Amino acid sequence: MSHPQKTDLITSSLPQQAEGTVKRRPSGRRFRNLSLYLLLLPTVVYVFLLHYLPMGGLIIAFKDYNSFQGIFQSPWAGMGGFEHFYSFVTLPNFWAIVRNTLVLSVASIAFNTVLPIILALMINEIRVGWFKKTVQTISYAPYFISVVVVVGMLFSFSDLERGIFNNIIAAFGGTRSNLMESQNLFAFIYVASGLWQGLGWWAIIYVGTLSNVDQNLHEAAVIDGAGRLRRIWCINLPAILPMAIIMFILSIGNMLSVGFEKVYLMQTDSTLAVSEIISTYVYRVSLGSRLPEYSYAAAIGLFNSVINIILLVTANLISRRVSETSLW
Amino acid sequence: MKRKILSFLIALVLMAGASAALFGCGGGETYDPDNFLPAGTAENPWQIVKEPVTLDIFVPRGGMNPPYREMKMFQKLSELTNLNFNFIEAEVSTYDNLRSTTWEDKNNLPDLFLFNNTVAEQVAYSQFGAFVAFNDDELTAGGIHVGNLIENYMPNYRALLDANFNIDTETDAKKVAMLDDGYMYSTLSVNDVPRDLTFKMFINQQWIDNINEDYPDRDLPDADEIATVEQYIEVLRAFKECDPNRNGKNDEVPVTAKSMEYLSNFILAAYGYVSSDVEVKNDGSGLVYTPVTEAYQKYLETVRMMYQEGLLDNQVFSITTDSQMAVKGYAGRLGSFCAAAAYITVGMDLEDQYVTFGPLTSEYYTGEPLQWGFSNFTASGATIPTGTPYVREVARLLDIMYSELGTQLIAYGMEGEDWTWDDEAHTSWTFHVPADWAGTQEEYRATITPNVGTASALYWSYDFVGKMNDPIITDLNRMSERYMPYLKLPVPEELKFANADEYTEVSRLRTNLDLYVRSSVSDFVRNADQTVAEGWQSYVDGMKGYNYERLLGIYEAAYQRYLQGR
Amino acid sequence: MMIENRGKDKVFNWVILILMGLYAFVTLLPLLHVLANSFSSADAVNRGAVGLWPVEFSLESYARVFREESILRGYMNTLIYTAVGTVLQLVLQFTAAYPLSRRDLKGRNFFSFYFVLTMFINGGLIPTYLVVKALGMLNTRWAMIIPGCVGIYNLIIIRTYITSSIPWELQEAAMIDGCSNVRLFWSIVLPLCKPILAVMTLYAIVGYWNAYFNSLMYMWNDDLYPLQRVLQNILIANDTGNIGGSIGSGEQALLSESLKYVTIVVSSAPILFLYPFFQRFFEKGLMVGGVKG
Repeated sequence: MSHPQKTDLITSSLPQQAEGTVKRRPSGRRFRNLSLYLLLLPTVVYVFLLHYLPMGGLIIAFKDYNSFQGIFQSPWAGMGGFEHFYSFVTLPNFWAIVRNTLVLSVASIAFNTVLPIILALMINEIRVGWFKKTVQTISYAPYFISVVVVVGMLFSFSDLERGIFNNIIAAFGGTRSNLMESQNLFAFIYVASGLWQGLGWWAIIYVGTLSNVDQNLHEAAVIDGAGRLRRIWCINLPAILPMAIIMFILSIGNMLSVGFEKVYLMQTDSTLAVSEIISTYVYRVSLGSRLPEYSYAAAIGLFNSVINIILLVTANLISRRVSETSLW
Repeated sequence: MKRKILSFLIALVLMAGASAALFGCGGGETYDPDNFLPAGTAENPWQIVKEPVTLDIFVPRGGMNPPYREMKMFQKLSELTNLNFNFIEAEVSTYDNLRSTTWEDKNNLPDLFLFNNTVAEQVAYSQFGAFVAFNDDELTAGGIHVGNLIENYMPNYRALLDANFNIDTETDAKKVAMLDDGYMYSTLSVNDVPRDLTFKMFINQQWIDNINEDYPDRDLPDADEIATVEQYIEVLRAFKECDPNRNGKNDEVPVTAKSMEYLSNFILAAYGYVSSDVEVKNDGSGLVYTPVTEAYQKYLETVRMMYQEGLLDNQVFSITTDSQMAVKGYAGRLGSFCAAAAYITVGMDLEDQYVTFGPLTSEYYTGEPLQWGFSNFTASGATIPTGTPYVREVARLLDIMYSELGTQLIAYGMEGEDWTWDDEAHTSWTFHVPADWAGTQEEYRATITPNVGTASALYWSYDFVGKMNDPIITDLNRMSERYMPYLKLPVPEELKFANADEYTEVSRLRTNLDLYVRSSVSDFVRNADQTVAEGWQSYVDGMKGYNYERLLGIYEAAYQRYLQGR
Repeated sequence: MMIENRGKDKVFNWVILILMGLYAFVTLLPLLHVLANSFSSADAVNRGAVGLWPVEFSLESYARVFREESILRGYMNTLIYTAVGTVLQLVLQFTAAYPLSRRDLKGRNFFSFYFVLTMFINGGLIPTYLVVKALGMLNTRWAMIIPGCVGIYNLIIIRTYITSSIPWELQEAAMIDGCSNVRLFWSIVLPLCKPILAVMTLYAIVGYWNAYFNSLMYMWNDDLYPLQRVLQNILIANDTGNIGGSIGSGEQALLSESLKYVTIVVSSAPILFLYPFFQRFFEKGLMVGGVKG
């Protein structure tokens, strides 16, 4: 299946040979690059089959899909295929939905990017072995609690009469209130509970990266009289920065894709004005509906994707200029 | 490592090939018309085919059920009819997706879509000839003329249709099943069990008695005598101010609900409408969108007053699950609530304190009391996709499922095995759960029928279901019957929209409007600083922005067609 | 282990300890709540009476879960999916991430973009279903293993790790010595990837362990259900909230709330005990790191 491709790859790798800095064994270079492409091949094929092939289905965003006629035979939507996009952007609450989505995602990105780094740096400084292990195990345990239960706990902790949150508020002289009905608190509760659940989990990647930091650097720094904070700042932080930047860029690219499940479960009638986001709306018109509108949902999804990709490319561009770290 | 990848890829290709071969063979069998038995055999009138034939049946599957092939009722049906079943089972949460993908593959359509059919799909796909019409005199299938399935092969179903399933209602069963083109593409799903036709409103009769004993000057009416929303509020006030649960604490919650939606159906009915949606005017002259009516404003004022006075649970907008409501119910703090059955909310210990009451009227609305209800009939029972040769076989199978035997099977299983009559006159029967069964009764019933969990049934018949010998159920039946004379469907079930586009548009408009109404109701009710009247105009303007007028327009057109058809 | 400035250091250590202790404490409380609920009577859970300690201690809910024969099968299936899936996932991710990390690979940016793009556009449920069906994976174990096998996010993380933590000079030197790419990857890069390999293994295991949606979409054969699906079904079976459904009997289970907590304990306990094992790799990396220069 890959014969013509193979020769392509070989020829396309030829110019590289001339530019390469390693010139000692030019005859080996050809095979060397070939083997790299071979390593890459299975994943490329996989991604093509399971990710790119289904993308053909996106065409239904421009159609009035019905399953009887199928993806390709269904009639085109009105307005040259753009009817569903038009319907979405002209919704009376379109801007509210977009704004709500952005509020949640910007807040999440800010905290979810910075705090795991701080946590990882601190865990890395713990010098008592058993304590370090305990902290880490505890910190990552909440990740395994299903969203349904987390949200259930939020409701029960926020209970007007017996909830622990309200008990604390009352203990400090505040007035009890229905916290889950508060439009002001919605984003806070969403982000804070997300941090409780994910902080330790997200920190793992940094803890792992930190363990690879060259200890000679630390020793040299100690000899130079650098304190702990200084060494964290000058050695540990730079070591995990490229990773952090990449993860930050990726989250920028997910700006409009706030997952629906948790928000949906957290919604109360009283917070709908701030809690209805793109993904919950998509859920309502597709999976959550007795009459799923696949085309409409696909159109909103595509709208999302396009904006996300624009954001991603921009963020990547900026990052490449500023930090030399980039996705491509 | 590379070898592993290679073998993985090879495995992939092989699997694809193997499955293609498998699927490819499926279409090869030829249909033998003479294998079909129009009226069974002398020994077995239920038998449908001489030699066993396998039918592919697409079904919804609830999390509670075992696989369909293990369910007793289908094993029994298979035994009786000599048909074998191959079930394609779709979990409820992904049902619509799987159904869509099933339609995508025209070469492997099932022989029957059992349960969960939608009118929208029938309207949309019948224009392509996707479904077999049950009442088509010219029907051909499997290369032969089979004619009208209902007339020729479904005597039970036909008799029931003619008798409107012996249900005393204005809804015409045949018209529910029939699209505007005069064809019936789906059989009916029928339900005349009162407890499953409406939400019930419970009130604590014990509390009323306690108050009348402890505070004689209050002189509260019994639950049965509460007829107006004003009286109801008086009782709730007494619940709040007195100590009806006699624990010395002011911890009573006069009324609550799992969500406002459930409560609003009940309170709003006292103002003349039963839904926050498009609804038929009580004189039948046309339709209104109730959230913009004056009655809705009055209703909102009442609910706001109840909330601000603390009669309505101030947590009602934070309650999203039954268990949140149950927390107060189990603690003996609830005066009144809306639920399917009281024991779900208050547990078995307190269950007998609560009785149903209503429906109510009000000073504003003094007409006949109204109670929101489900339709007895929905065109959701079973559809046959065009292309299967086995239409007669399927028709006879369905007919058995509508027969007395079938309705019993799908409800509680086989007579003599799963349940037995208590007396000669057949006035009641007892359900038998094996002594060694470790789970609950419902879990056991789930091994017999798909009715548990998905509520799927073709005929959920009160004539049989209502005779179950079970004290709590008998009580619930009795308490549900009071609502039956007052049931109102927001719009007639016979009403059909013109085409698929209208169904889609209605669905989307309602999604948007529903969110706006829910959000606004919460704002009105919780806002202590602004009366309903003050915010009313901007609310109605907002509703216009979401185009309720268009929604009403589509409904009006369909309603006019419906009126002409009557 | 290291010469450090003693006095200041002690203060610093204490500050860290206190801060981390506080953090762990706050994180722990809700976890205890889950645990306490799982060991309380259904009635107490329904009343919302349980705080951090079991009320009316009861194993009823655990008994209910383990009464189900399908639980054991679910565990077995999940083990298979996790084992096979994790290996496959690691192979696919690492073999792709390494070439992408090579700055001398032509078309590297193209391939990066090729992968990253799929994170932001997907074809939707139905087309994906049709592809899975065309590949013959419906109702087979592969349906739980293959779809979602490659995490592009992880792939990018691995690539980033290799480029940022493994000195390019090291690879260049090996190349000059005539080391082939595959050997370079296998003998030099991979051993230095231990920490990230541990992280990715953990990610993969957890991902497969919790996977649930694919089974909803792609399989209806009970024998193949993963643990999470089995647990979900038990939850649904005991849910009293089917208010719109028909009421078939007066006796309905009231366990559902406590079962929610039990299922979390039952499904996540095995994974939690796995974590300390992985931590060792992070510590070991610390040692290896010192050697590498």
